[in-house]
Amino acid sequence: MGKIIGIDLGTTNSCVSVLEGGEPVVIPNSEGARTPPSVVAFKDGERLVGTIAKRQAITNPTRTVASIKRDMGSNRKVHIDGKDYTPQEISAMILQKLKQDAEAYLGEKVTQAVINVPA
Amino acid sequence: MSKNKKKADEKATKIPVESPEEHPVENEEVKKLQEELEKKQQELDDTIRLLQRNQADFENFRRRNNSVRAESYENGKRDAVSELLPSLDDFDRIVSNADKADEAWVEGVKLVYRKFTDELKKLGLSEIEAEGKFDPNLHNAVLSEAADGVESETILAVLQKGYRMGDKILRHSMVKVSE
Repeated sequence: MGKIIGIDLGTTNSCVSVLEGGEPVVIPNSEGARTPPSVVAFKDGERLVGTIAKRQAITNPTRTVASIKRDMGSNRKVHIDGKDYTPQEISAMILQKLKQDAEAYLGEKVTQAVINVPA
Repeated sequence: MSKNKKKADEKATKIPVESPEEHPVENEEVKKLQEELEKKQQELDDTIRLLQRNQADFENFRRRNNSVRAESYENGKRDAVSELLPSLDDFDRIVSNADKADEAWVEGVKLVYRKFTDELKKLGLSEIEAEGKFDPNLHNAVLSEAADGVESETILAVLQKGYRMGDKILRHSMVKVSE
């Protein structure tokens, strides 16, 4: 059984951690950020998540999504580049990035996680 | 064979067979012992699993720690230089707003500035280029402005210089870009 990660999927920022020897350790992302922004952007056919997405938000406002957690549970969809995304799909992209960062840190695949219930 | 001997033989060959119901107390004890044995076996299995997990944890920890010393030194250097960046910003402002009437003082400040930046360069600090096309890997766009004749997402101004040490970015350049 691999490590189980703990994810705080926040409205503005998110955080991922793991228990090491009984102590929780926050996992930094690829840029060294411990609480990266919960922002997703689509640019030049690429998907950007986290700090990099926030840095280019002003240049790409119609294709950058922030605070999507506020819409969780509603029927609101985000329309980008001819495609509709539900709040759950956008949140899944954030979770996927957090999982990738955790796998890079731990050096092993992660298949289980505990995610906080959105406030 | 005499009748008596035959009767004795029959008696001798008949071995009484005891059924389990005839010794309930002993069987109860055996059952208890079996349950205890199963419980202990389960505890042993759990302990072995925990040991294996801890061993795997330790191996991962050891692998990660191998490069910790070298990384810690570089991280410490980066943190120290990051703390100096606001002072560097102040120097930039002083130098660019120097009062030309007091040239000797200005020259003195410029000398200190050059010495300071040289020392930082020796530690590995370099300025991030912030001209031309906006790159979210290097720049942080905080303002956008319409600009005629300029391609979209071109850097118009640097509001705060960005710096890197080696391949690690200490601070992204804060820029104004064209719409």
